[in-house]
Amino acid sequence: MAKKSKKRQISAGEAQMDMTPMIDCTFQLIIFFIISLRFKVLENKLVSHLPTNFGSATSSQFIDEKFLTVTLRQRGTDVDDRPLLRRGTLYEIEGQSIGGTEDEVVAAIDARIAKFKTDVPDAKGKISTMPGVPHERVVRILDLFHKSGYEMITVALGSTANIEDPEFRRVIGELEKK
Amino acid sequence: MATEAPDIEMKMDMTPMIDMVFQLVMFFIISVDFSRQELAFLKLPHSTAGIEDKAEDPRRIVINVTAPAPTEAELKNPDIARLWPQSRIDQANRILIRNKSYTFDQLLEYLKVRGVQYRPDPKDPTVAETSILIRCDGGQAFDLVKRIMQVCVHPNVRISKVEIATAEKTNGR
Repeated sequence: MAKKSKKRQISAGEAQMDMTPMIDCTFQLIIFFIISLRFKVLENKLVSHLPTNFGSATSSQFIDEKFLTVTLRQRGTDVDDRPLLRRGTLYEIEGQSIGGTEDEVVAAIDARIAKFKTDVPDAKGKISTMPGVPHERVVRILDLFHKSGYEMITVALGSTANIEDPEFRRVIGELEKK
Repeated sequence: MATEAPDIEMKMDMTPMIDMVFQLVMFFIISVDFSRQELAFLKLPHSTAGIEDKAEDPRRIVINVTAPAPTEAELKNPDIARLWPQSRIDQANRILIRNKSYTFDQLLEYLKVRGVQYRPDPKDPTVAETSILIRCDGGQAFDLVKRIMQVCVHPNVRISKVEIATAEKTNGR
């Protein structure tokens, strides 16, 4: 009996749920999701420990044959959309400049760094940078030291340039003319 | 004459829609990544030796250093000017922490209250417990990173744990 009465009620009313608002809302949210979705880019890091004693170490502490020093200077031109990278970098190992294209120079430095580590197992690395050298190129050298297994790499914090300083901009401008 | 359909009072059941909206709102709240606020859009330098940054320390300070702007002479080149709209130039040469720009003096003051005086490392009270991640654009002068490091070794700051953010090196580079 109960079943019969229920059937009758449905056929009389024929009430159906309007799914339209729900679908509208769902689509709105899906569109919002798609627009705002940004895939997470995983980043790496190079871990370093700054000296815990006051100030920085003096340069006299680096007169040590276990140190291999790579010096970077900024000049020349190359092509990139970023200003400092348009100028080439000069690389020196222990005061000797390395010639060639950027990749050739990096390969030569890589070989020297690896050889020094083989010759001197407790070798230490030192990176000295002149004003205006791009961060990317310093990290590249830091990377080579890390790759060859150097446990201690020091970065000379000595002279730095203020990129907003008009004098620095003028010097960079003069370097460009050369 | 056509017979009119009887007036039936129909009510839409809003429950499924509300359920779904709440589910989605909850999903948004849970999945929103607030840490992204700390990350400025930069071209990080590539490295092979870098380790994956899992950002495990929630108190770590992320310092972003944006790219340098081109000189006025460089901007006369239409190819460079096209890549550098005013909005991008405005964001150049900045030190950003949570989207707020700092000068080096302001950065020193910011780090002093997070440095060794207020947050000493329990294992070594002579240094700060705080760690720093420097995210510097690859095209920016390394001088800015050096100056940040100089601020970190300031006697009133003494933050020794400094990490440099890099991008994973791909085969193409």
